[in-house]
Amino acid sequence: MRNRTILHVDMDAFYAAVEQLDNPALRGAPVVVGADPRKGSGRGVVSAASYEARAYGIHSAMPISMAYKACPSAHFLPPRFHRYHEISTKIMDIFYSFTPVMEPLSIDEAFLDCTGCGKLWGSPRETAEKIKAAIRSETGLTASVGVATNKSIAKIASELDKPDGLTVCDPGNEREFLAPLPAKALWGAGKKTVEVLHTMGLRTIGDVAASDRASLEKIMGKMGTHLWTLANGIDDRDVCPDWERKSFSEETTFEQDTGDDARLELTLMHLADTLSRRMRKSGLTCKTVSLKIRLEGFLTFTRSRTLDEPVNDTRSILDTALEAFRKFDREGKRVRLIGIAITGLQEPENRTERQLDLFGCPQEVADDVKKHRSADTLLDSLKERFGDKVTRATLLKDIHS
Amino acid sequence: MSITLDKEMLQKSITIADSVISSKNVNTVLSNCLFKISGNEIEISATDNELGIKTRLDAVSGSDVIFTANGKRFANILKELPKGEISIEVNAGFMISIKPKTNDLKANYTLVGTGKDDFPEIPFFFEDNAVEIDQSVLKDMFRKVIHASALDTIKPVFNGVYLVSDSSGKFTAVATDSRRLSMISRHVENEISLTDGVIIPLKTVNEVLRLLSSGGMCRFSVLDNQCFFKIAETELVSRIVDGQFPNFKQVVPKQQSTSVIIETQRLVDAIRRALVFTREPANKIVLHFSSNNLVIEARTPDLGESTEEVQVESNSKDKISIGINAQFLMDTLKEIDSHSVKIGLTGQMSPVTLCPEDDPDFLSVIMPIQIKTA
Repeated sequence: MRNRTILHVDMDAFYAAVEQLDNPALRGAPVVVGADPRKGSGRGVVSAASYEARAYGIHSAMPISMAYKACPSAHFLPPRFHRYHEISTKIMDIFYSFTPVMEPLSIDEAFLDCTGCGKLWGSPRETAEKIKAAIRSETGLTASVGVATNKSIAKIASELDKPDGLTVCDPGNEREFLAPLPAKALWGAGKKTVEVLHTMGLRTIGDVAASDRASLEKIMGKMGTHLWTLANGIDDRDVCPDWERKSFSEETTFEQDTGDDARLELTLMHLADTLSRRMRKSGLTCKTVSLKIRLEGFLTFTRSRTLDEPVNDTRSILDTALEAFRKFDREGKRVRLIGIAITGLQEPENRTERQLDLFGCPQEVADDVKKHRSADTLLDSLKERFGDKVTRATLLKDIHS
Repeated sequence: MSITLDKEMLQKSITIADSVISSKNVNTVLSNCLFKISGNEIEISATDNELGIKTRLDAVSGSDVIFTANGKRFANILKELPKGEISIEVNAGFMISIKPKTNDLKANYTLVGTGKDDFPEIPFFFEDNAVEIDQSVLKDMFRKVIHASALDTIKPVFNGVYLVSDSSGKFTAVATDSRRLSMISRHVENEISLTDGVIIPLKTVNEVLRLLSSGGMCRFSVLDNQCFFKIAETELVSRIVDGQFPNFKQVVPKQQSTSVIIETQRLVDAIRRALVFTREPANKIVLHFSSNNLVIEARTPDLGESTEEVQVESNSKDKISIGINAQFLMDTLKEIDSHSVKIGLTGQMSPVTLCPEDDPDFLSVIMPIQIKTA
């Protein structure tokens, strides 16, 4: 078996910590980054909470109104993604300076494979300490690090000693290390999965590891085997530096549930515009467009359409989303959230090997496609220069009204 | 009210009706099947608002009752019961009690139903100008062309099968996704007034295909924007696709300069092997035709390559190479039952035609993939 050294580095309360870094007055105070709480009537959720805010029971993904009720005196701030990205880039550069085998998981966490770097950085623990120190001196922020022989345990370990933590699981000690931890600590075990495990009487990772693999598989399918393997300290997955993006998505939560179709469709237009621009920027096309719709009462639905030809123009994505939206019977219920996700990403097809069309492309259609494509390109460059104030929808408002 | 009937018959009918129900339906009324029990029959219907189905079976009951119930659950409990008769009772609160009529199993199952509420009425089969056609013929026609229709609904006219009768006694089905096209014509006994043709949505075609068996006749008619099928004890009504089907006759080559005859099975085997060395979505292979052989070549960077030679009979001495989607070829070759297939070619950028040697009324057209010529 390979004896690897895998680190999982996770920034502590990242968005909130950046806010406290940029504004010394916020240091030591409860800070909540997320939607506007509007004195408790706001909608949307908490993106990040500082450790001071967490003391009040506030955590990310909690409805912002609930966070407000828990601690009205906290500093509620809107997210500044631009700034977070700036710092994230710095942090990722630090990781790269330690090892080229680095896999970012999100804006503020990554896996690092430091196998064989002992001569360079010392023992796994010393390596982790050096990384933490580099982050602190170059950004002023703290991170928690988990060190283990595989990804799953490293990820679990980084959680154990937050904030500013460092937990090492020594090689050969994997099962003993995991056994006392609650089953929900397993990477990939969500709320539903944990409920199932509990009904089987499995409360700790040790319980899962000692359980019968076949019966787990019978009840939970592939997921059962997967969890059993992880619980036994086995995880062969590599740290993938050339991680490929699998999807793009954009969504909007309305201030108030809305049943206004015109408004919903206009929102879809904004979303399709943003999404397709992101896709064009990364030079990709997509084959599947999914509409996500959450109705009053929090019922969530998704509707997917797979296209015959990969696309990346605004119009195709919008048309597909609109078609799914118009077909969706929401029984007169109002909409809380609407979103579009695109998957099946691929590089555009090789133009020298073009599939010919039976009916050709009638001149009008060809002109139309060309017009829309050049509009897309023009808008992309306008936005590049002037920012998000320029949108297709704002340009079209005058035409439609 | 109590009714006794064979559990397998009931299970079959419920499954027929229930198949049109989308599991993603938000409208709760429409996620149930409607049961109408009266006199000497049970009628079971279901709809997803675009497609409605109703099927009947014989059963003698004491009185009439109308209720709805979850078809999947109803069929599931029937499936688990031993063969034989069951008795069903529905009370005033629409509780449906199901009892097996066997001494081996003493049990009672009660399924929660609901009243009819606003369950939509499914229109009756429209008899005027109905076409009568052999089930096996219609099944064969749909089956042979359906692969060419587009799965996505972006261009709705491609997401279905076009039915038309442009000359007396001739019935034609066409499907295309704009890169390939398959069409088949068959003779029907009675007059059909369908000169403009209609596009049947793909989902409907699939439902109809499931209902068609190899024996007996079925009926088909059109009224306004709806089409109707009557197959044995089942009636199906569906919207038809709004829009103009493209002028397919224009794109079917009248004459090809080269005509090649190949053993169907031999070609299928070769293409299936070449497919391994292609990548979706293009699945590109190159066909090199010469006077007595065809070389099938697949070449995909980072994946591998294959060449295979197949004997052919050609009427031309010229060599011609054509890039083509191997999956498209497979889709249509699978529907060719005859021993040999006739392939027609004119040039690298011109449509390729495929036709069973003994059935000139079944024709497929595939547009090539443009290739760089060496």
